[in-house]
Amino acid sequence: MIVRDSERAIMDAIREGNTLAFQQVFNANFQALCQYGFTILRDPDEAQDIVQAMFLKLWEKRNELDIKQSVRSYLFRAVYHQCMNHLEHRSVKEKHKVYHTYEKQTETQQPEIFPLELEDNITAAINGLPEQCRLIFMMSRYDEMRYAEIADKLKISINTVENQISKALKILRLKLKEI
Amino acid sequence: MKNKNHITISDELIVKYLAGDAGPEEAEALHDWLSIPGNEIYFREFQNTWDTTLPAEKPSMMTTEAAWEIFSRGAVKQNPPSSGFSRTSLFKIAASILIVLTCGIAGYLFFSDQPSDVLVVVTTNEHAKTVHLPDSSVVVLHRRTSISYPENFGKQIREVTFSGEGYFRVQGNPDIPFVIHTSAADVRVVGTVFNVFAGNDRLDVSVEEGKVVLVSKTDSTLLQTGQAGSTRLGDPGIDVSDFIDINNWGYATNKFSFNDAPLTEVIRQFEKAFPYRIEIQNKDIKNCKLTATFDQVSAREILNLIGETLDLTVQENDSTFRIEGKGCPWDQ
Repeated sequence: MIVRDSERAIMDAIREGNTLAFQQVFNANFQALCQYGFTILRDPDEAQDIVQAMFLKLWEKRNELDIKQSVRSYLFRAVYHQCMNHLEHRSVKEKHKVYHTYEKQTETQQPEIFPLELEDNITAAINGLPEQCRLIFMMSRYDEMRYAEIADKLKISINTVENQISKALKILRLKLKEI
Repeated sequence: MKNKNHITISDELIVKYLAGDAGPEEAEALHDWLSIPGNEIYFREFQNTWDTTLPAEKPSMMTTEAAWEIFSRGAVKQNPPSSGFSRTSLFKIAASILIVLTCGIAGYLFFSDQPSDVLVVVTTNEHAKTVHLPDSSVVVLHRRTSISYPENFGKQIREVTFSGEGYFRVQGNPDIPFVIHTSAADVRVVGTVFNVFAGNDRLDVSVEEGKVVLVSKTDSTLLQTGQAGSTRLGDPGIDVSDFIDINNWGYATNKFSFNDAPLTEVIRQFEKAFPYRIEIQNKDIKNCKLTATFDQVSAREILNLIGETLDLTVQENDSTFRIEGKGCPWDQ
């Protein structure tokens, strides 16, 4: 449904320094990129800072950029890479911390820690999930493990991780609706 | 449910996205899919459940407009004014440039001496286009449609000038009503989803969700969910009906629902929504009736499904589909 014929024209206008064309691109993509960055970083402020920085880079480097696909695809890729960099920095910092609960927990494959503020009905619903489903969901949601890390840890395929987390969320959606 | 990168938007992908594991192509495909209005509701259900399992984390995002303010300020700070992105030069540039975005979509700037009079105009020719307004409202413009709004749209006023046909999803904001000016009458809304057809002397509005006020020179009326209103230039009143046909904005939602509809009506709606012509080889085919619902299916898939249902063959040639077969003769 989204027409992209105008992509090249917009990029050309931006290269020529057209701020209104640039603002159109900003308006059309800002929220989506922030939301995307947030899913990776779990921190709205960091996500917004990264997205702002990517737009600034796009504006400053508008003459040098060789964007083969659309500006939108370029921005999604830029935000992704920047967020992944950010995560790496974070995990380096984490390693310097004295103690990390998750290491200990996952050795026995029992990541049992719910965040304190979670209501009982929600923890009950999660505990009611089929065992593998629950385990994988909690590793993703509360230990912030990436799909590949979970797959690696449990010696299962990424596909299985995808299916199980999706299954968990569908079950939870139904259960939490009843409450 | 496939997009240009051939990424299928499955439940697994939606959840993967929420879990922060979607790659950039997947995320882009998902957001493209989300810009089709009905899909967002489906996505929100997953998102709400996901958020419920960790309530402390709920994201609070600033509005695009506030972000733009910060952005343009930041760009000034890091860029000497000579390189182009200060607020003052922004207006100068705006007032001195005429951008024409080719290939079916044209964007123009009109200007007078006041910076706030700078208008952004988006016009479509043969293809529909999604326009994101600064207040996060979204309009899907149908073919041969034009919308214009001031460059500072959303700050104190939300007013657009409009002609043609468009599917509006207006961001709620009780403080600043959203007004659509057309040549026949005005539409005032607070936050809602509706379709507008604005001809030279005619205005039709169908409300899918929420409330809309239709204001002509001599009359005004409130339209609610499921109602349609229509007025003509020169007519004293406004006609209201309790029937809306969602197929009329299939061009924006990619959703169609037919209940014992003659095939001629089905074809009319498809030709409106998709850039294809549909030819019928045999007039008995026109007698066929169809009951079906299509959601996010491509024109090709829809026509093939119809072909299978009614035992017709569908041939594709460039941008024309040709439907052949025995059809539905009266005596059967």
